[in-house]
Amino acid sequence: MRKIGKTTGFWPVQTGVWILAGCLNYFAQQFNSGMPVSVILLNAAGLVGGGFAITSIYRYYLKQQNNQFKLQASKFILSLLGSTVIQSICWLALLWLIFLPTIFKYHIGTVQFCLNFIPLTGVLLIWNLVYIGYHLLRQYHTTEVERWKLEAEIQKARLGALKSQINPHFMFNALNNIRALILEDPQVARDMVTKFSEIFRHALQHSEDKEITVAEELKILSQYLELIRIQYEEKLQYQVNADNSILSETMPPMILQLLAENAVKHGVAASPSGGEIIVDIKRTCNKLLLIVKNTGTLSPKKQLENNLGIGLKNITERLKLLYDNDASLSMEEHPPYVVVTISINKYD
Amino acid sequence: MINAILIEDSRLARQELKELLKSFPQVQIAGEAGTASQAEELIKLVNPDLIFLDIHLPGKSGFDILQELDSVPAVIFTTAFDQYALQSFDYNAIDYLLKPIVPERLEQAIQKAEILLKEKGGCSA
Repeated sequence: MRKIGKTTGFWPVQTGVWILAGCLNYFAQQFNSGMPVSVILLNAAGLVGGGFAITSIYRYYLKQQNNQFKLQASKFILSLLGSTVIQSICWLALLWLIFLPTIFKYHIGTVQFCLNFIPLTGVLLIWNLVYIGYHLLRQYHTTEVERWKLEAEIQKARLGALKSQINPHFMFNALNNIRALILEDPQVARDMVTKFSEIFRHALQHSEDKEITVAEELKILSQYLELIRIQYEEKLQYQVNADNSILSETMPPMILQLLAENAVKHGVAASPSGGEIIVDIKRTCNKLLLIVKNTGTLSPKKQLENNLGIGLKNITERLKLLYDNDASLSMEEHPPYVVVTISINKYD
Repeated sequence: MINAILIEDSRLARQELKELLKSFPQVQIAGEAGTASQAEELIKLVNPDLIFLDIHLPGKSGFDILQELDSVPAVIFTTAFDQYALQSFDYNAIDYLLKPIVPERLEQAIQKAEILLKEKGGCSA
């Protein structure tokens, strides 16, 4: 039996159900009780009217409470049973008022009359359970749908993160250069395909990881720089400096690659004569420092895309998510270099 | 014969394009440039019918180069990613090719270039 709903006709269902209940009661009484028709009609009317009114009031009460059916199970059951008992008492009182003129005429005893409390409670309990059950189901359904939506959003965000980690320009330029290398130097071309897949696999595997070791990150960084170098050749000079002692430290994945990408974009690709990139990884007593320098200046140049800093902004957001206030990114100019420093607090 | 030049900062990418263009004897490569300034000199020097132009170049973009020309030859843009396809329409580009270039797409682009250059009458057949 379907009942109720804020938008789906509660009133037609409520009315229909009670009229049906009244009719059933009327016919049942007519064949069994042997009471006069007037009394049976009165009884049916009391049941329909009382039931209708009392359950409607209960619904109003539930709505007023704005009860999202989120009570604890025990409290919830207690409230349900309590309400049902109160409803039955009211209903019984209503019936008593209706029958007041006839109750003495037919010598219906108080106890006998009060026994009606049991079937009334049963009927009300069924009504209440159906009503609340329907709403619980609806609510569960809504929650489910919302959960699916949320999951889809998360999936999208993850893809977005992956996308932002592998720059499509880098990817397609690398593939294009490898195509040319296959004819020019097949051995180097083969190496580059391997490096390309390593970088791609790394991005796929670690796009959701919070931290990986510096050693792993450096391995991928050098492969990335070697691949970038087939695009810029002698125009790109680079060096990576990291002490052996910090190789086991942890850091967020892909960050060095993103910094290097930023350095290439502003320090190497932008200049006809190319440029130099220096990566330093250091550990102070309570900080891990990732420093990436590239030749160039901070003065904003007239560029095709005026998004100096979009890459760095993404990194800053990621650091904020991962470390809250325990990491920072700064950019300074120390001619001839622009220096980007990421500092991550370490508490070991 | 179409007199064409390549403007592209990566040597290997130029190599790749030259390799692909070997299948089109009607396209003669009159020169190549790796930077914007080289490109400007080359265009003055050879007055090409057609330019294969990369959008990302050091110093200036491919669009910047076109803007500074008095008369713009036919242009086929070549780029690694498609974020500038719409902008390229502003420059009457014949086509917009994504690297690595698909040979069939290159063929279509060259056919379009041939038709356009014939209409212009600037092509010495």
